Amino acid sequence: MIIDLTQMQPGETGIVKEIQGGHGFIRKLQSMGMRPGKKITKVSSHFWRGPQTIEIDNSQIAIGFGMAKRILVEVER
Amino acid sequence: MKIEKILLIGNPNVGKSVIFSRLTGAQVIISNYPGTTVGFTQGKMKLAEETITIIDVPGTYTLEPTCKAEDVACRMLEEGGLVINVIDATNLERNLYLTLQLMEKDIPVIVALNMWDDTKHRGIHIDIKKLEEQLGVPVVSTCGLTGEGIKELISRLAEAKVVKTPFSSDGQRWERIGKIVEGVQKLTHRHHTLLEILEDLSIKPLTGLPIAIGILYCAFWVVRFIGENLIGYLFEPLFERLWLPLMMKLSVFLGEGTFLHHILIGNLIGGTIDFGQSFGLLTTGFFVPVGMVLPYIFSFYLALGILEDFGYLPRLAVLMDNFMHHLGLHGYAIIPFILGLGCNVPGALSTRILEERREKFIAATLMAIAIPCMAQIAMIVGLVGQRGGKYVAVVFFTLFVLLLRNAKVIE
Repeated sequence: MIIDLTQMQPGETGIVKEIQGGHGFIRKLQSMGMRPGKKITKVSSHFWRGPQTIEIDNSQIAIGFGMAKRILVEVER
Repeated sequence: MKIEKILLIGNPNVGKSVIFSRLTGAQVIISNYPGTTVGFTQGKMKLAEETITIIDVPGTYTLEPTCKAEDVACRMLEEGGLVINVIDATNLERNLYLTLQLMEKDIPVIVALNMWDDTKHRGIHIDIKKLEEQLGVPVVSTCGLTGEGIKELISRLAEAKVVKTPFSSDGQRWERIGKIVEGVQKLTHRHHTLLEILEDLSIKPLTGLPIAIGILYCAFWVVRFIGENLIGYLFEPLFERLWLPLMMKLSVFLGEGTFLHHILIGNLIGGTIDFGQSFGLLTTGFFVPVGMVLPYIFSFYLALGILEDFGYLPRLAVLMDNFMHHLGLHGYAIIPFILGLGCNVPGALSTRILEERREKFIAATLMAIAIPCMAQIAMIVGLVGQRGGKYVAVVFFTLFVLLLRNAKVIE
């Protein structure tokens, strides 16, 4: 099932399917290690449109809500 | 091959500046804030009778000339030289992207696999020999902080190779990187250490907020404790036993009532010098900054440094992000605010880490209006606190409300 990053549950693992954005957005995420085909794990999310924390490549990064909504992930549900 | 110029190129925050200072023996300021090396730094290094110029190029993720930092890096590459590609060993995949781009250019490259000590902690195993084979350039593992591997790096500089393999597309590059990483890196699963459990807890809002309050409370308590004891056991005795007699002699020498005496010593209170009241340049003017304010600033930065080394500050930023948005800022802006509580000057300076001009303005103004620096806090607590702690709370609360309301106004 394909959902966006904000809809992932803490502890859930998924594979990044698509990043909806322009050149700059994709580049910015790329520099953090986020690309289609990458396996990521959701660490936690904030209530009420807060930043989403995910684990990628053995390190943790926090992504803002607006940005996270545009990252599509495939999960087993 | 004669080496004349060396360029240190790599992602931001991989430790280029530390390696730079090791190679040049120069004292370079190293900071954890992103975007620290904005201009480039240049130094000289001696290698077997030759003097080589070393340039610390601003950190960049790609060589595509679409971004300002990349622009500088690109221009420098055109001027030729030897490239030491500094790579963060704990982030191999992301760092290799730049490496591949460097290898496409007509310039000799040698790779410094930095932060090697960190890989052990994280259960990352990298086969260096294999990486060398795959890349076609020499790879040396280094640790900028301890200096390990730097000697080897220097001795192998002559081996830097020009590879010049063109990749037709991004996809091709990533494919290649994927293959390399797969063959070279092994990730072992580590047990969830206590620190990691704490890390996770500190981000989740329900547990994170109490932790944040707890940590900040402890931090302030430590600051107070160290500050007061520094004053009580070190500075005050020093001033009473060494400086005071000296000043008294000077006072007699100058003669009370003379102009010079007034300026340097100030008024004699009760026949002797009172450091709080005499108001002379060498008495109060010396005691207040060194004996009263300095201990607190010292202990404040000590506490802040410890917090920073623990890696707590980014988690605080994530926690505060939601709240900060109400002020029109991102979570990271909490750091200038915290610094501002110590002294508004470094707080204002640190607003450089914020990206937009608008954000910098909001943060700096809010800090000037509503965030009292340590000295002001000391005054507030000293003056108002005498009448009871609740008045102190009133003052801070007023400031807080001011903060919120004025944020809207400023925006």
